Amino acid sequence: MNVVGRYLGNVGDWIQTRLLRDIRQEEDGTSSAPPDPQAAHADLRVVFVNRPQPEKYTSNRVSTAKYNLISFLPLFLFEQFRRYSNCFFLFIALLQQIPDVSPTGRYTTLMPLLFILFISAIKEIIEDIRRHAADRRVNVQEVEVLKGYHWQWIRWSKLKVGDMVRVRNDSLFPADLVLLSSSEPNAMAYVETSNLDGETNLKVRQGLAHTSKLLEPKDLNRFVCTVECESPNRHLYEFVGTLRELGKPAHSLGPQQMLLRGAKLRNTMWVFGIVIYTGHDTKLMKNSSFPPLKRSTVDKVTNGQILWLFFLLIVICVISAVASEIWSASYLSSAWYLRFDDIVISNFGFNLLTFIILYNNLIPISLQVTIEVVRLIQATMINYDVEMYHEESNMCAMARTSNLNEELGQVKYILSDKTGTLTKNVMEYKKCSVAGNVYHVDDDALSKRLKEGGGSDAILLKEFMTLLAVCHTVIPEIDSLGEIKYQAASPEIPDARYDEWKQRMEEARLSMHMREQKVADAAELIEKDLVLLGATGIEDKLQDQVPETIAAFLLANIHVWILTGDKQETAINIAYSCKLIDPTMALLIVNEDSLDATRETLLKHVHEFGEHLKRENHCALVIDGRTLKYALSHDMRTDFLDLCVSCRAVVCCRVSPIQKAEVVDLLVQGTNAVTLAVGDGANDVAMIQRAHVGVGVSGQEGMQAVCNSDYAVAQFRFLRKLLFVHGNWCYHRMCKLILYSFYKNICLYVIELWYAIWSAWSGQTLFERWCIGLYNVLFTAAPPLALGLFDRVSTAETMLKYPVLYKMSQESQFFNFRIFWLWVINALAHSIVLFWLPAWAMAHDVMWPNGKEGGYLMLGNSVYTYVVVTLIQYFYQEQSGVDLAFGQSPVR
Amino acid sequence: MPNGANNRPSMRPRGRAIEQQRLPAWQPILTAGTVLPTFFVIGIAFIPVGVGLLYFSNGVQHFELDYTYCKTSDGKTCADKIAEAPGSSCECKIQFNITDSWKGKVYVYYGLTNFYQNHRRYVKSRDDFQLLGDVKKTPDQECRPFAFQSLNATYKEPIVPCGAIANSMFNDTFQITFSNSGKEVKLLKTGLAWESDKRIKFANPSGFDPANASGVFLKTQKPINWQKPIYNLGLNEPGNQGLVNEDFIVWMRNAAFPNFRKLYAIVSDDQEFFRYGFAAGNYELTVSYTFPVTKFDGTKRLMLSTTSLLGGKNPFLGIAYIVVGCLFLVTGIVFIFVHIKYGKTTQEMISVTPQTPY
Repeated sequence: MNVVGRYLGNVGDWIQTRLLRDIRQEEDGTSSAPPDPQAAHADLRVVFVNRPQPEKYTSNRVSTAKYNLISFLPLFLFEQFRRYSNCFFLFIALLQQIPDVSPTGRYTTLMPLLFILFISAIKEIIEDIRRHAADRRVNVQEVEVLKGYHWQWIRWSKLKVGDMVRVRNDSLFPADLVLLSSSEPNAMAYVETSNLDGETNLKVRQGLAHTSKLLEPKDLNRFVCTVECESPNRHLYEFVGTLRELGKPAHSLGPQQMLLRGAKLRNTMWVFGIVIYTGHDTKLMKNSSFPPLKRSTVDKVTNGQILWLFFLLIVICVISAVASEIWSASYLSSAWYLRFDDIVISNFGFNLLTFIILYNNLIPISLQVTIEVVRLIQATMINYDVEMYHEESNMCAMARTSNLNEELGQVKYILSDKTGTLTKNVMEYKKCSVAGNVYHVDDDALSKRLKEGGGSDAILLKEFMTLLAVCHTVIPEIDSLGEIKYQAASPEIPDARYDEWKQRMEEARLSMHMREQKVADAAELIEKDLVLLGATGIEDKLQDQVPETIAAFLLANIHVWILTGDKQETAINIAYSCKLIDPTMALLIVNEDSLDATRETLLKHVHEFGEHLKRENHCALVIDGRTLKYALSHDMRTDFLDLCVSCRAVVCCRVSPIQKAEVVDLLVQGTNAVTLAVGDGANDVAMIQRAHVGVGVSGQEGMQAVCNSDYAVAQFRFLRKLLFVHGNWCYHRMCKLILYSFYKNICLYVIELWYAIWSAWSGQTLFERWCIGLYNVLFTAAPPLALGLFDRVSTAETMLKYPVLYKMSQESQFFNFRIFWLWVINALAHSIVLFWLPAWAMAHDVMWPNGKEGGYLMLGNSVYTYVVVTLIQYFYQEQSGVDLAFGQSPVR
Repeated sequence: MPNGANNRPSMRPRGRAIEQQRLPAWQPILTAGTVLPTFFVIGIAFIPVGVGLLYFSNGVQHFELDYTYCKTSDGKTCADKIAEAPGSSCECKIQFNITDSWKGKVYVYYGLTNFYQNHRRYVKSRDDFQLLGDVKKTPDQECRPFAFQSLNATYKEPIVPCGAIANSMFNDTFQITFSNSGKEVKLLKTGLAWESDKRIKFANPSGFDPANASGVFLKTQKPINWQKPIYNLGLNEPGNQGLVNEDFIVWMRNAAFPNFRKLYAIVSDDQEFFRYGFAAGNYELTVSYTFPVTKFDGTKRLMLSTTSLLGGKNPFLGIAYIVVGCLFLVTGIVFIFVHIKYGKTTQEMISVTPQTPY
């Protein structure tokens, strides 16, 4: 029965399409009139059919690869040396090539650097070879093109704009086409768009009646026309064009006539189409842009600290070089045994370089590689988590990027979509109301009444049911077993207003409210004389455990904001039912329709808060899209943000996708807080890309959100484990890994400074060369990896049980400027003890009963051994999550 | 539900413990109950260790004699004399007294102060292949400027052993006379270097013949500061001649600090009064003084020392152990007071609620 609801849900598909076009034109400020050929718009494409194209368009050959043979080396090196650390180590490696400058040999930095670059290059090459292979497979596919009066098979890559093509059943469209005619009556064609949006249902496309008779090559050959259309864009569900034939009235083209590259022809013998957009101009390719590169807060802090550490390094080097200068001046002239007759020994500049090389490993060269390996494995662990597997949809969690694992532990604001994210987005038919009678889905009153007949209500009921059965987009498909499958389109969310409209459907007040909307003139004309037959009631349930999850988030000091295209009442209701707001909360509802009124209301509320502003208050802010537009204008942003962060919850309704992203921007720019945007539809993509962490819910609405997300989960409730357990763990692990890596390098290499005091500030290394070379890659490689992979600050159960534990990572308690420098100071302290104790203990040189003395490597190797032992011991101390050094008590 | 979800193979993760991060783990929870005993155990264990170390160190007999400014019979210091005539040698004598007789093997060291054997340029100024006997090769450029000796304007020969370390080899010699018997104390000049050094890092050129030692060193020059060529080191001492000379090897092992000592000789126990150690009594040290140190404020010392299980005399380690042990005890006691006054029970520590301040 619930299918009925869906039927009706799709009655308005075409209305929606019209609506969309109107809305877009409104937004763009263009008129709704068809494109005028005289007004030569820059963003207009005119395709000449059966005539040569005056313009040259992009080839239909696609390339998604990052590199080719020639560009690989420069591009790859450019990518690599955009990282500070790689530049730094290259600089060191170059310095070491200057004769007599390096205290550690010529290749001790170059080799590890080349190794790291080599590993990265192999990874890039493997990935790119796969892309090249995939591209080639695509480009060599063939399609039939009309040449004169014959169809000729050509490769996809040779296809040009304006070509007429024939596409057969079950083949992919080679480019974006305008449908002319098909094997089916009235130029109907069925397409499957799962490659584009993940929806597996079939969709109907229909050519213009005017072109549906073009069934033979000779007809097509004679068909001379122009197609005016928008310049290429990424809107999958939108298309505005005009087909003009000489001396005939123009016909408007819409998404109904579009056959998009990436889609597949189904249940249709063949179609004829005109190529409109090729190659990278197609909507598919326009949508496959690379997501913005995001970096985690920990990453940024680390990079900042590296700069500080570099500064510290320079300071130490200058001190050493100055000391060397002083020592040389006072000693060297009388030291006959050090008479090297060149100037290098006492040249300040050269000495500075020597010390930079000597101390350069204060900045750990292996950190970047370690971090990347650890993140990759952490991401795998997220994918493997059986508790985030959703049986019904057969989906597990998916970490699409691994750069942000630790950012999951620091989320302060969750900006959530409503439909499909908090709710199931499964529209279930509950009841209908016809002629004043309500029929529930569970009782058979309706069928009884239908059978009985008689009476005006029965006629209306029959009419109502007929309408439901006719006005829909369900496509029956007979499968191989001979069973009929109904391919119903699930509701799409390409625009926020559609939410609104759908909600109206749910509320079953479509026909009454539609008039309030700015509907296209044509639509309005049709709808003028509508008769209200009845209404269906449809329910969209909350997903499992949404209230519990939100309650846990609130305990963890995570603010949850709902951003929905839905109308206000529904949004508030959902916010109540998911326990985001409760009846004791004051609701600040801001609905204004002018800039001034908005400003007035916002300022009023700001004043009411008084000194409670910017603190959390027991209230919630509700604002609609129109008011939001004003509130986000430049002069009110700050006040609005202050107001938002003063409330426990914020609900934004009737907001467009762009507005969702703007709210994220407001938070990102106005606060230092980490934001997480979660949504399931194409309208959430902007918000998902803009937030620090974007999470896609792989729900009913295709893969758009998931494809643009950083992490994908099947259900909203999985966010809880993703944040509280994986986020928290990853944060702690990454912090410890980074701190420990810095600690261990500082601890060892500052000893070189202490030794410089005794070695005439000459830059002599205390340690044996191989010990230095193998320090990061062998002797102390395991502890950071172990910390990054296995350290558990507390068990998953504990962290889920006590959401308050999340605050530790959320508030950056384990990695900030203070902690970092405490570790540095700790490392300095350890290095002092580790150098001076052995130095004093071995001051007498003779360590054995045989009376022989050890020499400097005896001291160096001993100190080195003690350093490694101390590091391992420190690792055991750190892995417990107990930080004795800084007096932080364990919480578990 | 997406169509075809049922047709796909199940994506359900296998749920093995390692993937679910549920491997058994152990974390030490540091509570007063575990930390305090640790403090006391360490404190109590360290003090006896320290006492033991001190005992060993104190058991070592040690005598030092600074002869930097020793005077010749005409009242001038040798230091001044060799400064006036660089490369010359000067003889001076010093009397000293050993009050107690020593037991055990006695080692003779020379000690230098303010001598930077650990200077970076100095440390690398050597050619390890040359030291392994390849004396025909062009010396490593690290040896510069002690790599070649110019014989005339156009001709130069490699220096063997090249480099600053070899060039500055300590070349004073000692002679100790036991005044009570009037006999010279017999000193052994072998067994000074590490076996590994002798076997692996140093070797004479192939074809080295002790009888005609200079043969294989033809067309090489002695280091500038040396008075005799390398093949005359350890002359007439089998296995101690040329590049494997132990004095040389000992010098070539760079010291860690500017104040250091190096083994000079071992007192032979195959002589009267020294069979079981070192006899008490008066001694006279005769120094053949050639090594200049006063210019850079260095000093030279003669050291006589026995050894313990832990080498020479150095009370530092023992004292350090005792101090650390005491610190642990004191800290432990302080912690006990803190614990009694402010501490929480383990039960309190682990019962964390959302209200618990942290």
